[in-house]
Amino acid sequence: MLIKFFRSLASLKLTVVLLLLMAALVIGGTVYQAGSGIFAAQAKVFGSWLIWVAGFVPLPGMLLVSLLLFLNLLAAVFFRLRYRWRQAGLLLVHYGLLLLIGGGFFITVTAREFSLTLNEGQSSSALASADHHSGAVLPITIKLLDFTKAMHPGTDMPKSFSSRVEIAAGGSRRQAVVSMNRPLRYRNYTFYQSSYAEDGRGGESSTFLVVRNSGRWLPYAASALLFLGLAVHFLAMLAAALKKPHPAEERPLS
Amino acid sequence: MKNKISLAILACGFLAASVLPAAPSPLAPFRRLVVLEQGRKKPMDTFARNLLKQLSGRSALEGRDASSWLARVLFTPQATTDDKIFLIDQPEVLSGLGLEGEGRGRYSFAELRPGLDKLHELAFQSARRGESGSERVESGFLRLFYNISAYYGLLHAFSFARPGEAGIADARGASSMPAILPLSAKTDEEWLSPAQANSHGAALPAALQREISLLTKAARAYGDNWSEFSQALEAFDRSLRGRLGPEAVSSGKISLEIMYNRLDPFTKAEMAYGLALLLLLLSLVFRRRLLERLSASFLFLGFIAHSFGLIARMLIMGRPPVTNLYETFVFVAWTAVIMGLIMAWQQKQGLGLLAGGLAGLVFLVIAGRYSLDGDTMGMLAAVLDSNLWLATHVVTIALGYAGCVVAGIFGHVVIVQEMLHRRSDAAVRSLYAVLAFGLVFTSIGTLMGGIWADQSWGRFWGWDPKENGALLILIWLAVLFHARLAGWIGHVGLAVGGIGATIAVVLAWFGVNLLGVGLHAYGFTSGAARGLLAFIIVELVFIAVSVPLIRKRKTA
Repeated sequence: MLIKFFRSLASLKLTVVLLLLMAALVIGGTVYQAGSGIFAAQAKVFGSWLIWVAGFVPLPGMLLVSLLLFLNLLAAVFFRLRYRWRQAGLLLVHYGLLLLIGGGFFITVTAREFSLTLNEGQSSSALASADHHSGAVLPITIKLLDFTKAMHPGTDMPKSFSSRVEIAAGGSRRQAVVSMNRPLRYRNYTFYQSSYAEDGRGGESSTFLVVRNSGRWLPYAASALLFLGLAVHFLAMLAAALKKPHPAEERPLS
Repeated sequence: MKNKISLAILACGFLAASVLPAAPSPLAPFRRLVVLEQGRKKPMDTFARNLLKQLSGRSALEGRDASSWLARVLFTPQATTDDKIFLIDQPEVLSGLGLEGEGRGRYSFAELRPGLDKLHELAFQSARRGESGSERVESGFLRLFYNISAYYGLLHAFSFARPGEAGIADARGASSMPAILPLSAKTDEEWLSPAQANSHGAALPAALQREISLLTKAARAYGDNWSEFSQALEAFDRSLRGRLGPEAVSSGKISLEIMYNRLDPFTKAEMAYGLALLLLLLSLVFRRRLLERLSASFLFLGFIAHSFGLIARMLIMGRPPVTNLYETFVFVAWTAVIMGLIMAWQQKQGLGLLAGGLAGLVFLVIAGRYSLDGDTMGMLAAVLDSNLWLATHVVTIALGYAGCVVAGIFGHVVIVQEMLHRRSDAAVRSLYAVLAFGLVFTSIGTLMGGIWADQSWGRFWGWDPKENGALLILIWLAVLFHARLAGWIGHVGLAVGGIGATIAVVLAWFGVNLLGVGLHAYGFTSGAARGLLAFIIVELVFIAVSVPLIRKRKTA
């Protein structure tokens, strides 16, 4: 009975329906976001199980659709996909997607975002959470030594900005630089250069986005599987296309 | 054989015509002057072109190139007030200034002068109302005001060099354009315009004073004594190099950029693609193999010019091929042309020529429209600067976009063939192949984008509009392949899906940019939004009309 249920869960038509639902949510969420901002869209569309329209009509939210798609994919991997060498690329792609969606759930549940603002010379290990309700304490102490920014010549456009910090962990101290696109990592914590402020008297402060995420590697692993699968599939397709001689006498298009 | 020889001659002629060196001109040293503008050191030639494009929507004036126009504005300003250089494309703007005229077209400074006080007033009102009230007409006032201010500044940029006018510029504040005088050897620091430098008077270092006197000499010699003009500017260039080191100004990149400007490779490519399409059309009518081959050769010639432009830009800027919206148009066009060429070569069919020629032409035309907004080689915001994942993911996504766009073209072909009872397997097979190509590269590009976002922003995925756009394309392509596998759609459905993929790409590509309309995006954006909507409606109507017709015939 259960097996039969799972078999029917592997249905291709279910895949198509779920994907179309997902597409509708992506469009709706994006348009909603343009009017109401990313946080509202997260709460209402992308991070929700059910969306209540007009207070009483429930629509599936992105989490629910993703979960169903995950189950559909899982069932497909067991019951529908054919394990042949020719399909190797596609198999890898489907396993990669399984890991990507599963990893996404794991991170949604476990990861936390904080912010940390330091004046030059100040040190701290207390993190403020993004929603201002609860903070956290870092296992290390961070001290902002110096903040620097460079402008494109003759413009107000910042070319780069970066913070030199000192990390005190246990008894050891070391220096590090956090800049745009070059975050600092410490165990499960990652520090990103987020913004800065000047107090007008030459003093500067720097704000970091701090992310605690123990599943950070999951999308990378999934991406690796997907890259490999797509490459294998693409090369197989290419080989097939080049091997198959095309009838030269086919009429020009009309 | 004879065909090949004639093609080879044609190709050589086309190439030679575009690569031949320009006739020696006394303005050559003027074109080579290095200007610092918006954070970038560029030749005066580029400065002049961007300015003239911004003012008039064109890069030449009555057959004279932008540099010779700019030289006249700088050195003989009174002679240029009758040049029709200010583009006004809304009748409301002209009537708002209380001026007579048709309302659309190019007007001269002299014609607009009576309305300047009114313009000043209206522009300030528009600016105060800010972005929220940025109606088309209001941004029209603002734009004209900026343009006239820029022109006015240039009229007085060399006043100090003209006897009798010396006091005027100082009284009005020195014009800050063009910034051609670097203050110190740290060339990225401050650059002054000649008028600004001159207003420092005796406080300037001796070397700069000498350079100003060289510029004065050139300004006075302009039009009368060409050899003295050139010599003075060459001496100026030597002086800068002596002061700052040979690499600081007039490097090889400057020469390359002047050549890039002169050859104008994308316009040449555009013409070649247009010709290729025309010849393809003729070959369908007259059924001559030769015409089809000619079409292929023009597509290839266009491709060479296109590639030259792409590579030249990479060398000039020292960065990957796709870093701003303008470059996405150029790159997607280029990719589509490569795909078309490969298909034309492999299948000996018109399909590839159609896809390459059409996508190449359309996107280069859009790029040309977009380039009117300013320097297409502008500097990058800090977040976008030099990161391997950024560079690669944008390029990969662009490949995916190209696949989807070509799929849309083939979708039309399949549907039209179906309506004309002329089904060809080649078209369906090609459609399938480019859809798969689009799916593979959009997937890889989106994942790479996720990795970049994780590296620089701290999250792999954040439901940002741009990310959602890419996801939408992916979901749509996945829907197509799974629905095909499930037997829900046949090849007509796949063709409709290909058109849908193009719509998804267009939405992800510009639709997303239009959600957050910025101030600098006047003109193009308002036009683009309407164009976008019109495109989608036309495609939907096409599908709504053609598919029932095909169905009806099949069931009958």
